[in-house]
Amino acid sequence: MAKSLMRPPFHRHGFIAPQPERDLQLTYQSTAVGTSVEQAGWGTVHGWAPRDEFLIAVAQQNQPGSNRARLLPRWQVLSPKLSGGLQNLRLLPAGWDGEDALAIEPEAIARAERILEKLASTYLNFKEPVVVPKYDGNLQIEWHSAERTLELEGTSGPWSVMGALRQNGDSIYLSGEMELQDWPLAEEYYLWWVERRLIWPSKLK
Amino acid sequence: MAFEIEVIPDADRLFHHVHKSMWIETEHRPSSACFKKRPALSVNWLKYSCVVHTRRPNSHAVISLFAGDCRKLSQAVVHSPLESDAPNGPNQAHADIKGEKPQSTADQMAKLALTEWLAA
Repeated sequence: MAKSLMRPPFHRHGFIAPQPERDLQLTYQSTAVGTSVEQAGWGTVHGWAPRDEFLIAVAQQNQPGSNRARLLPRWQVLSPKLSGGLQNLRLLPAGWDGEDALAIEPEAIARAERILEKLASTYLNFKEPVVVPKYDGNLQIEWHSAERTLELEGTSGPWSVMGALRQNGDSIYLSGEMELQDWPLAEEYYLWWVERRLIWPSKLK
Repeated sequence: MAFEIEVIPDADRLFHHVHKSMWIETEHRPSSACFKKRPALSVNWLKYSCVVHTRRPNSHAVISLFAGDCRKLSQAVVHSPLESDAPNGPNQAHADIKGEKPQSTADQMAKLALTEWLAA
């Protein structure tokens, strides 16, 4: 069940009652203004409505005629804290560190925002990361827990990925890389961090 | 008059200011991104500096690292005082932490950082 579907009360085409994840198959569906349809598989929702303004989710229950859909403004998908943090990154001027740091690239922020919205709308209990600026105008997305750290670091090429596993006071470091628009791999890294994947996603797709 | 270049002992602390956007509240420490400065991370050597001297108007925290800890992470710690005609000079305490800082190194530096001052 997608997190966004649990949120009140904005819906245009109906309402989806919270149900166990496996009870719903979620897909994208074109709207009146026209978007393509994508299969999203069990328990996931992703894709964007026209003009990037809305996230559209259509829940398709197994029973015929029970389809329900809901339209969420993008600003509802992420928490005010995370959205505000991303907005603050947009406002950082060149030299924000008091030295020679570059202003953050709007495209880097937009890409990060998009992938976080996708994760947030896919997982009911999505854990929001911290997004921090880098001196070179890029940014870094970080998730931390007692035992695991995941960092997605923006670079001029593919994003650099670091996982850290803490055991008995020591850290084991794992590395990888991905294109930020590579949704399946980003999802795998996130699932590794929440411990639903036990093996580090090392394959660059 | 040029400042003398000295060797920074392993046991000495190096101060660095942290911008608010780089502070991880839940971890009570800076992000590893704070240490990924190229070609070198500017710090102030304790011998000629202090927290107040290192703090800036936009600082959220001032942290310190031991020079020896940095060297153990394959970093060179070099005293590089700024003369009066340099940007942000004069600063006799200025030093550089030089070396490649892959994510694992930056992460270790973030975890080794001691919080010396934190904005209220």
